[in-house]
Amino acid sequence: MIYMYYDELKEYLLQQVYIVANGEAYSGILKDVTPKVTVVRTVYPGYGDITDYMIRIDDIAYVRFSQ
Amino acid sequence: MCKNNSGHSFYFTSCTYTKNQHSCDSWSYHERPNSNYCCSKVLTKLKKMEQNIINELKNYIDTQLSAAVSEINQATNQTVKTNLNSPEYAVFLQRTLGDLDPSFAEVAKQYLNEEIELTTTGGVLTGIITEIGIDYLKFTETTGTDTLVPYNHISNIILKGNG
Repeated sequence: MIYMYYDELKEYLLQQVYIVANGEAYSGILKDVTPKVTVVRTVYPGYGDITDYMIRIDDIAYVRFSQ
Repeated sequence: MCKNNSGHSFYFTSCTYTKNQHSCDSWSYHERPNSNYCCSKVLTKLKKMEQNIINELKNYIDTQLSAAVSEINQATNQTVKTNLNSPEYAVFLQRTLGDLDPSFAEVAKQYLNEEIELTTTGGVLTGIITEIGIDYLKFTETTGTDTLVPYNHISNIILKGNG
């Protein structure tokens, strides 16, 4: 199998990530990865609801994984 | 007793013989002077029957075979269509034929395990390249966190020299 960016991202499903795309930063759980889109769930306890952000994979500048 | 093409012997069950006419519609055999006439006529009939059976079998096999081949073709076409329409294949084509620049991976390999400064469209990262993928690189930042960076978002790589 050819291992590509999308495949590598899938390895980090349900982990804490920090994604920078189009100048915006999204910090949360990597909830879903499709060939075109990633979904990041952000939770700020005591400050608003759970929010899912759909981010186009092509727009992602980098993905940082928490230790 | 008559012999067919395969050499098998058979007997006639009835045969009529008149003075000027032979009737050999049924299989028959009698020890008569003209019984060979019956044999040859029945043999001809048997050969015709054999040929008919062979033809029917051929037609049957042809029909079944063409139906099976048609089914296989349809299944194959469906599978190919499904795969060609899949998002995974679209991404594969896009990455492989479009955006993907294999030379970038070759260049990036030179900096494997070296401390570098990576300028991306999302900011500057400092650390070490730990893995080179087909369209991305894996990076361990000086803070110790792992980061994935796709090639098409890398603006430049600066080697942090010791001197």
